Formats: sequence, structure tokens, C-alpha cells
Amino acid sequence: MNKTFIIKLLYSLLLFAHLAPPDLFGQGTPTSIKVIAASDQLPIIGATIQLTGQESPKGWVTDAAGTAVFPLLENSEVNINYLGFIEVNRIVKPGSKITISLEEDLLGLNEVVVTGAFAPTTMKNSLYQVKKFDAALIEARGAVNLSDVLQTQLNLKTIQDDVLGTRIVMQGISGPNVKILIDGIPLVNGSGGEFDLSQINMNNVERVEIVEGPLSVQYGTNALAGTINVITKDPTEETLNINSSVYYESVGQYNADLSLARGWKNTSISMGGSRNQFNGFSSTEERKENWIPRTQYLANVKLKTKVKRLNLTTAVDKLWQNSTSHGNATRAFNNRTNKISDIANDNYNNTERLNASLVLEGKLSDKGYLNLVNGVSLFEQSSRKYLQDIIDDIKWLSSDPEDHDTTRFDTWTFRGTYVYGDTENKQGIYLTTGYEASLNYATGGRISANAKGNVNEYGLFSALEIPLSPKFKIQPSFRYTYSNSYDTREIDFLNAGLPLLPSLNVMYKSGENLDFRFSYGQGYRTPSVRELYYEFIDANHYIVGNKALKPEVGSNLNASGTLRKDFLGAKAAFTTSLFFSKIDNKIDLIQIADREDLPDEVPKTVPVARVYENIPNFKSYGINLTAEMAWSNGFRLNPGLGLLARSGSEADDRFYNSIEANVNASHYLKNWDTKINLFYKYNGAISEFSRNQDGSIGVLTLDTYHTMDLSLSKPFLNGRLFTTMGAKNLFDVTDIGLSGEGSKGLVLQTGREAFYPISWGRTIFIKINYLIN
Amino acid sequence: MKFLQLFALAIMTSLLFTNCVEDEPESDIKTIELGATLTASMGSDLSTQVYVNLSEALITDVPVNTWELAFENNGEAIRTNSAKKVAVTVPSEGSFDEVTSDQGLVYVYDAEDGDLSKTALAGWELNVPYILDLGIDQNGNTLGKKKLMITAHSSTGISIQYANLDGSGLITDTVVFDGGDFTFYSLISEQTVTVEPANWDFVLTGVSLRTGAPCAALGPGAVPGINCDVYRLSTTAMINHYNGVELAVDDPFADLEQNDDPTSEKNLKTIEDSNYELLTLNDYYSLGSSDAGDAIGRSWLNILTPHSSAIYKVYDFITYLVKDQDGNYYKVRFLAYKGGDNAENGNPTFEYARLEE
Repeated sequence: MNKTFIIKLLYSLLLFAHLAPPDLFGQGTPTSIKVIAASDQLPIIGATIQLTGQESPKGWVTDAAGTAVFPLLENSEVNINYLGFIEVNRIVKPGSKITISLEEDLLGLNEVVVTGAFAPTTMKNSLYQVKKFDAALIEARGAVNLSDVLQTQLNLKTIQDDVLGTRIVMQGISGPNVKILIDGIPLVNGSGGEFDLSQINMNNVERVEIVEGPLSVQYGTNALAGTINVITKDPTEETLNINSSVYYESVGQYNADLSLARGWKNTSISMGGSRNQFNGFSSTEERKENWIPRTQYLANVKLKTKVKRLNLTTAVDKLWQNSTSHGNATRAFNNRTNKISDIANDNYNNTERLNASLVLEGKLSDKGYLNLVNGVSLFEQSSRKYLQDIIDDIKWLSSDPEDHDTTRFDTWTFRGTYVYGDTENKQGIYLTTGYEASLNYATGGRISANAKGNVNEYGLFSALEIPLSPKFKIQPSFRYTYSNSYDTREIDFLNAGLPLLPSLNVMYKSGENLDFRFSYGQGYRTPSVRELYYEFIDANHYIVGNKALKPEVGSNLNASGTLRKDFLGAKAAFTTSLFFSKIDNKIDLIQIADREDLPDEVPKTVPVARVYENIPNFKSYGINLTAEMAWSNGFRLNPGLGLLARSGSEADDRFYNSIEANVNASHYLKNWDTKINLFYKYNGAISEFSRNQDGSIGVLTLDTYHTMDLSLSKPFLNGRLFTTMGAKNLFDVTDIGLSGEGSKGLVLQTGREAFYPISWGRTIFIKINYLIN
Repeated sequence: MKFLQLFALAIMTSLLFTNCVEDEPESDIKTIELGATLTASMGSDLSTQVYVNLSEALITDVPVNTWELAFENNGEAIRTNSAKKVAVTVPSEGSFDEVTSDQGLVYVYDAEDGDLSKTALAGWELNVPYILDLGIDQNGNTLGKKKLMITAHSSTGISIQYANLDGSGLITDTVVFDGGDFTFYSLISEQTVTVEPANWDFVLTGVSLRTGAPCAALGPGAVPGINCDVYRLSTTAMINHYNGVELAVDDPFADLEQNDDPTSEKNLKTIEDSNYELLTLNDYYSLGSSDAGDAIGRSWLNILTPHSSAIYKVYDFITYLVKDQDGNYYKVRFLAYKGGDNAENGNPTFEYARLEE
């Protein structure tokens, strides 16, 4: 009975979606539009021309002369657009012959962004200040993984840990508060409770979008400091593309990948695989490397098909990683050979990641946009400890069971969003409603035997975008949350004990070239399975979760203004943004001050004794000034300056400031068909503070350093062969000094030295990409 | 010939010990070939004391947490078990019953060199209450405190009474001295225990040592155990000076400072610099011997910075020339502090050989 009702409902929805528009095009007067580029007046081939305001708009494509001829019945508005140019809407009379010149979209204003917005929108229209790193930038950076892309960006820091990999700090707030998504699917964090950025490969990536500040209404827990959304490539061409690339970097990185993609009218499929090998690097030339050697194998499959008007996408990504963390060998008696030898402890880690998703997305009708996202992200890591006799080269497994572990973390996400509004003409009210369920589970040796099975969270959200005037939009939104592992009333909306998260976005456009965005949002972060139930106890560690943790609740104010104008002959955009954020009950790994508090079975002399605790609050504010300038001769310059101040209860409300500056520049040399890219960042000293055992504040400061990369990219063989080569880390930065008395740093989850490894020094790299189609 | 005799003696003695073992379930005795390289499995937590008998090639493992007090059988000295941080303080109250708290009292430990006149209970008096800190177990958990009073002492035994500080658990016991050098007693199991083997030359054991400043130097800000008088366990080797073991040291770099800096000159010297192969009995006499309990002590080992990495330098170029309890002469050198199945700290390995004429 119920079933028939659902089938009927689905059927009527499909029928609704299938309603054919009246046939406007069978007859009419031939009308001609020629499209040219404003810069060189040359025709644009392949520009699309579409009638606007149609339920199922038909389109035409310009020919080799840049011209499209089509029948028209009456005066109609058409939209003319071509990738990389600013689209134009124009009323056209039947039978007319017009030429339209398109301006190059040097600032990327019309590029589509999906992060934060409930339905895809453009950079210019998004209520959020979206930062975007596209495939060209990924290529120019010679970026292998996500960490390579984010380096030299303002407000972002990547932190290297020899065991946990590369972690992120955004707006001065560390990894667990940064939501990492692939195509909108949340990824499960790794063993360290933070995401290892080096496990996201850039081969198959179209672009990376970043929104700073909370997006908790949209994405739930963790999206407190910001959200990073990795958008993978969609094959669009109706041909078979085979793409292979090899990458070499002189530190000892050897990568190769192969991908196949084929598109048809309504379906496309792509698959790929890569192998990345990194031989490890030790700045101190010790056997113990601060950059551990690893080999990654990656495989991905993506199938996209149209179901009526909707896009159905299935994607599976799999990563296998073997890494070895070598120890320093010390003199020891080998009781197997009965000889004195040098023996080291080596940990062999196997990591597997699986991300799979099923997304149904698109317009149900002119006014209805649906996005159903279902995804799973699995992470499993096993580590085995071996004793390695480095003189006689024999190794054996440690006999202590504590030295071996396999732990697995799962996250399942089900999210549905329905947006009602005039999405075609982007005007009027938009109403968004949605649900999200996030199911999290962990098992294994490093998870307490007393752990409750799941940490699950359910949310319902709604947003209303209201255009108060053509210039002025506001969007209040809310999320209601329920969790099975803690009382969501602790979010305490309006001090009324309500489990509601609010956010408010305001956008004011003062003309075409001046926008202001303001957002206030509350974010929260559920204590993770790890933070609740972690249990890492061996001869050197006592690191445990805390079942009594409260959720983190943060609030964030963000204001930004962008002015676009011609400046020194360039198309330029100047953006100023300010933020203030505060997180209450921030969850932190705290040193256990009184060792007598340890359980009886734990040695009181254990070197590392830590537990997760809520610290009363953490505050930060910052200001960023950035400019984006693009000259029509192919020169681009993006300078930026940022100030970040951090404080909180662990600093007795004293603020610690740090300054960053960056310049990304590129120049396209037409005669040589070569692009030169330069990436520079100044990283001012940054301090981490924590309360010492005696109640005083300990401060640990990472010294100032500069990084600069330079690269050249050039296509050969009609664009089929594309090479990028360059030098990374021209200032040859390796380890940066740490000074002060602090007991903890951004850097010191496992660290011990008085320095912090920033990079593996100056290297050269080359990437060769070969495309067959 | 002499070797054969010795070998026979070794076999017989080991049989003797094997027989004893049945009465001493807590001792673990291993027979190892003479002259071999031996590993003393103390454990990285130093929870085992390892007694070494050179001429009989025996090592005997004794769990540390089995005793607190050792009464001298042929004298009045009382040792405390410094290997698990047993310590003593003298309350101001004159009577056993009045003692209820150790607040503000400073504990003392046995001297590191094993001198019986400098033990924590040296100069003890009859019918005077003391407070005994029972030390820690192998995980560092404190085992509590007892008040203690000696009520009688003779050549055959000693009478003691002890109780918890709140007066509960009162025990009175008369300890009858056994046939060894010391009679070992546990206030936890409330009985005498067998610890030392009959014949041993040195023991590898933990010892309580003060790190940092003495409280007296800090004045009113001193908090014993927190910012001063912090005692930690270190690894040491004590010779059986009570039974005539003496020792000479050949350290080619005796003039260099021994410290925890991994780059200091002494810490860069290796076994290549050792005189071990060349040393003869004459060197024992010319170097001059000592009968101090800590004549070996901690001189063969030093932790290196950063201490958290727990990497130790073993001074394998130092040779110890030992006159053992049986009057035989050996040369001994330590080779490694890591060993055992998992190459862990707390497994000192040493080699030794007869000192030739």
C-alpha cells in the first residue's frame, strides 16, 4: 500500500520532469549571431547560444566562422556563453544578424562553484567567498597531492608529521575542524584524528574549492574552521580519451598514472589508476626519516549518466598505501645471532582508503533542484613493528602484541537537498530543505573495548534566500541536529537549550563591480569516535579518548568586500576579508599532568601520557587583503597579505599574532606557447600556546620562513603532450626551528626535536602528460 | 685441569641451586657457559634484579618487588630496597601509636654505594618509630607507607612491629636470621623471602637516585618530590663487596667527562678503543682495586639527550677487572644495554674472560 503510493509519487515526479515544452522551433525566421572575442576580434568556435526562460532550452553552437543561424518566432532573450568568457544575455529580433563580442573571464567570475551553495552557482553569485584552485594551477604547481596544492596559500598551513602524514591548519585552527569533501562526500579522518592530505591524489581533480568559516548548516559536524571540497573531473567529450602522465621529483618521487575516459550522449565513464612512490627524506641524515617513504596505489572509476533531467553519478576511489617509519638503529645484543649489532624499530604501515558515492542531482523542474548524496568513506590502517638488525640485515616481528595494530574508521553519509526557486533566471526566493545522516564507526586495537558501536548524527536543515532588492540578498538558515552519542542541546541556541545551528548570509552588490558579503554562522563538532574511545597504550604511549567530552560549538563572523576594476591595464579584483571566530569546549589532546592519575597497569614513567579534554575556549581573528590582477597579454599576479591572531583560555586571553604574505604570478608567453609560474609565500613566526602543568602558559614558536616554487609549462604535438617542469622550494627550506617552553605545538603530536620539518629542501621536478584521443 | 675442576664445580653448584629452586619459586636460575656473552634481563622497567656469579657462570633473576628490608645476619645493619624506591623517614612523635602522618617529612634512601653505614635506617634505635615508604611496583604505582618499630635485636633474629599509618593492620613479627649474609623481609607479604643467591659477584639492579636540586637548597619554595628531592630509578651494577669482591677499572678515557651529550668526545669512543684483549692479571694489581659497592656502579652507561628517546651510551671501551668471591680474576666489559627478543632497554649484555697471568 505504502509502496504503491511511493511508486505513484515517483512516477508523477518523473512525469512532471518529462513534460515537453511547446515546440517553438519547428518554424520561425532564420536569425544569425556571430560571436567574437573582445580581445582579438577573432571568431569563437563552439560558443553556445540558448534561449533563456525555457523549461527545456534548446541551444545552438557557433561554427568555424563563429556564427550560428537559428529560427526565431518572436523577440527573445538569448544567453551566449563560452567557457572562459563572461556570458552575455541579449534580446534578439527574429531575422536579425548581429555580432556579439565576449570578454574573457580573466577573474573567473562565471566559473561554477558548488561548495557552500545549496545548488551550483557562480563565483560571482555565491553567497560565500569561495577560493578556487583549478586544474591549471594544480598542473603549474606540479602538485601530486592536496597538500602540494594548498601550500603557499594564505590562511592555510600544512603540518608534516612523520607518523600521521600531512595535516592542515586553517585560520589557525587545526585539522579536525576542517571538513574535507570529495565531490561533496565527507571523508573519514585517519588514525591521527586528522586527515592526511597526502592521501588525496590530484590526478583526477578538476578543481579544489575552499570556503573559510563554518558551513555546519550544510555539512554538519567538523565544518567549523572551513571546508575543502575536491571536485573530480567529468569526462564530457564524446570520444575516447587516454591520458597518461609521469612525474619525477629529485627528492626521490616517481609517479605514474593512466586514465581512460569515454563519453556518449548521456553517459560517460572514466577510470584510472596511479602509482606514487616516495623514497623518504631525512634532513638529519638519520635513519629515522621525518618524511617517511611510502608507495601509493590508487584506482578510481566514475560513471555518470542521465536519468531524465537528472545526473546520476557513481564513483569509487580506492587507495592502498604502504609506508615504513624507520627508527634509528642503536647498539643492541641480537639474541638471534648472538652478536652485538645495531638494531632499529621499524613500523610497517598498510593503509587503505575507500570512498564510494552515489549522487543523483539536477533539476526536477524549472523551479526544483534536487541533490541526493550518498557516500561511504572507509579508512583502515594496520601497523606491524619489526626489529631490524641493520648490520646482518635480518628482521623479525616484535613479540609484544601491543606493537601491532589494525584500526578501521567508517563514515557513511546520506544527504538530500531540495531547492525550490527560479534557478534558471537566478531571481526570486529560494527555499532549501534537506536532511543529512552521518554514521560513524570504528573498530580495532586502538579503540577501547568499551566503545559504543556508533557515533551517529542526524540533521534537518533549511535555508531561505531572499532578494530584498536586486542588489541585496539575505539567506538565514538553520540545522536541527540529533546525535546518539551526546546531547545536542549543548549547542544551546539562543541560550534556550535548542539543538539548532543558525547561520546568516548577506550579500550586497553595489553595481557590477563591488560586492560585499557578510556571514555569521555557528558551527559545531561532535567528539569523534577517536576522541571518545581511542586507546593507544604501549611502552611509550598512553593516549586515550574521553567518553565525557562535550561537543565543540563555534561561532564565526566573516565580512568581505570585493572591488573589481581595471588597474594598471589589468582586470583586477581586490578583496578584503575579516573574520572573528570563537570555539567553546574545543577538544584538545592534553598532557596528563599528574602521572599518579594513570591507571595502575600503566607505567608512571610512560614518556607520552595524554587524554582528550575540552578546553574552555579558543579565539581567533584575522584580516586578509588579496588582489587578483590579469592582463590581456597573459600576465597574472595575485598578491596577498594576512594577519592572524589566536588566543583563548589556554593563553589567558593574550593574543599571539602571525603574519603571512604570498604572491602567485604567472605569465603566458604566446610566441613560445609557454607559461611561467611563480609561487611565493612568507610565513611569519607562529606561536602555539598551552597551559603547563603548573598552570602557567607555555609558548612554542615556529620561526619565520619563506618558500618559493617556479615552473614552466608547455604543450607539444598539438597539445597532446604537455610538460611542466620546475623547481620547488628554491630557498632550500628543510627544518624550521622551534623555540620556547611550550609542551605542545601545532607540530608536536609525535615530535620530539627542537625543529619542525617544513619541507625536504630544494628539488627539481618534471611532469609529462600524454593524451591520446 | 683447573678448568675441568671448575667446570665440575659449576655443574655441581648448579645442581645444588636447581634443588633449591623448588623452595624458591620466585628465583629463576640459568646456567650459561663460562666465558660466553651474557644478557641480564632486568626489563626496561627494571623490575628484575640480576645476580651474576662469574666463576660458576650463573645468573639469577629476582623480581624487585618482593622485599623492602634486608637485615644483616652478622651485624646490625638494615638495608632498604632502593631498587623500588623504598625510603625511610623519622616522625617527630616518640611513640609508635602516635604516628599517623608523614606530612612534611623528608624521606631518605640507602646510599648509592651500598655502604652499610649509610643506609636509610643507619643508626636505627630500638623502640623508635620510623615510617617506611614501601616504594613502587613495576608500573610505578605507589605501594603505600607503613610505620615500623624494631622492638628487639639479637644475633639470631630481630623483632619488628609495623602497621598502616592510621594504625590498622598491625603486625608483630620475629624474624629469624637465615644462613646467608642478609635476611630479606617483605612487609607486604609479611614474611621473609629468599633473594640473594649464596654466591654472587655483582648484581645488576635499579637504584633510587636524586635528580635535580636537594630540597635544602631551595628554601621555603621546596616541595619534596615535585621540585626537589625527586628520586628516579637508574641502572647500576653493585659488586658483592660484603664477600670480598674487589674491582679495578681500565678506562682509556678516564680523564674525559662522562655526560649525556651524544656528541661529546667520550660518547664518540667505541669498542675499538678498548684494552680488553691486552689486559692481564698484572693490570689488576697495577690499576689498583676498590671494594666500594658501586665500583662498577653506573660508570658503564649514560643516557643521551634527548632523554625522551631513551638512547643509552654503553662505555664498551671500559674494562672491569674483577676479583670474584672465589678468588678468581676476570675481565668484564659491557657491550649493550638493549637486548632480548625485542631489543629493548634494560637488557645489559656483557662479556667476560679469565684474566691471564
